[in-house]
Amino acid sequence: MNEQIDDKTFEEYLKRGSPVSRQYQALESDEVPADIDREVLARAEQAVRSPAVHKRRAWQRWSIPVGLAASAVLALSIVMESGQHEQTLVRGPSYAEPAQDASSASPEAPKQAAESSVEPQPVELHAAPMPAREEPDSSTAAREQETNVLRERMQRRVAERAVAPPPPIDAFAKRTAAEAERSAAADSRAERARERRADERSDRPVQTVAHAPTRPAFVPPAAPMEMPLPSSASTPPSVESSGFATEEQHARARHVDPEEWLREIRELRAAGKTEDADREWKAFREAFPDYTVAEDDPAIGEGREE
Amino acid sequence: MKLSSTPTRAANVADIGLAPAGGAGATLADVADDAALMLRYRNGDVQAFEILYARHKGSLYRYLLRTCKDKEVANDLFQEVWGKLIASRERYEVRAQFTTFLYRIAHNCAMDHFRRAARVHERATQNVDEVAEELPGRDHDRPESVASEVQLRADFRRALDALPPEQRDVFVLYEESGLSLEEIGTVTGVAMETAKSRLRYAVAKLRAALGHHQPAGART
Repeated sequence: MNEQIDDKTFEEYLKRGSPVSRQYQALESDEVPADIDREVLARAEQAVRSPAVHKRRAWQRWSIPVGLAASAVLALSIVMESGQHEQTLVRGPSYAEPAQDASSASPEAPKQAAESSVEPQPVELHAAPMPAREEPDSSTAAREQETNVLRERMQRRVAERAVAPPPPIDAFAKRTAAEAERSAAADSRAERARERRADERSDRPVQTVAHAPTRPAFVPPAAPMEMPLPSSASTPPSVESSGFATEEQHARARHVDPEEWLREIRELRAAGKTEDADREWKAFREAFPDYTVAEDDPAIGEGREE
Repeated sequence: MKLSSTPTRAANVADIGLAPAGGAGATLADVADDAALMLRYRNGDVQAFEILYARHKGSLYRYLLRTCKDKEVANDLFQEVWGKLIASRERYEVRAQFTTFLYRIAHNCAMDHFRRAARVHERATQNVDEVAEELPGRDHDRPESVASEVQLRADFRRALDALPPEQRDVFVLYEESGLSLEEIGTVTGVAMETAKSRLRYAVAKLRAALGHHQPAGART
């Protein structure tokens, strides 16, 4: 079969006057079935006369952008809300902070702190077993009384905080874990400072300080400050650690707030009571070894920062 | 440009009381009228659609029928094409001839159908064989018979159905739609030269089929 034609023949065909075109037009005509005619025309009419379809299409046209915008607004509001919550957490008190002690410096400490922070439990202040000791004299009794007063105040604060709703678990757990680590480090430094001081004291055996009784289960509640409390703050007085621990606790009992304590020291120095101020400053430093105090703070006095 | 005209098309238009716009006397104004009618239909004028439908339904139906070679399929595709046109009326803009717009929809529907049913060609070939069995044989198969007009049409139809789909598509488009080669290239998604080459091959084969019925000296 010859499948090629010359240009002239093809040009003749393109003019639609060729035998091929005539033969094609002579083929039997195939008519559109009448029912299809009716159906197509009915559909065309229905499409024009059904505004509901038009409205639905207009709605569909805007559905995607409106949906995207709504999603964006929702996501933005959630982000903003979570940001505000984070700020609240940063400003808010730490539940687990005071619960840390030197023994919590173990690797499981953050986890424990996180777990304990999930469901704040009422603090049982009097559940801590007190170590056995001799009959206290009048001065120690007075100090202990002051300590009890302080405990009661703290207990009220803890109770107030326990009433407040807990923050979200994840964010709060992370924050508490970090604070637990920081607290453990601070406690460790406090321990080392005490050991150093104990070594310097010749009249007291080193073993007494080094083997001070371990902290009881009782832990004072969080103070309204960011500074972690040293472990010695809650250590009850004992006979063996008669001087150091008792003084520190006494100081702690009087000055829970370091800024308030510093203010008192400044007042002492302003009043010319240098010796008292120096003593208080020394006690302050023992109680808050890593608390940042400005070098030119009047509370430091002539002794300067150690 | 002149649109191809058939008596059938004229009769279809006459059925609804309209003057044939796609006939031999069709002009560019008639083509422009197609776009205007479509715009009128877009604005809610159903009668404009009826005019359009009457103008193009016959040629479109034949295009689909001779491309697919299956009446049932052609019926379905025919409704599908008009359905898509109706659905797209709000997005219709006069960028090209309405005929190009219409046949592009039809071509795409046909191609989609072929993709959906990969065995359509195979089945169509079987149908062609069945039709060929029903048709009278060629003259040289029956030397005692005289080549009649019916026999000529039968051979031509057989040759048309035997064309490769691409060549048949271009040939039927050229005959039915009245589009130029460039527009056919646009409709079928190929270059104008490709469409021209396909059409040239198709015409050569159909001429060869006709040549059997012509005296040796009359063949060109």
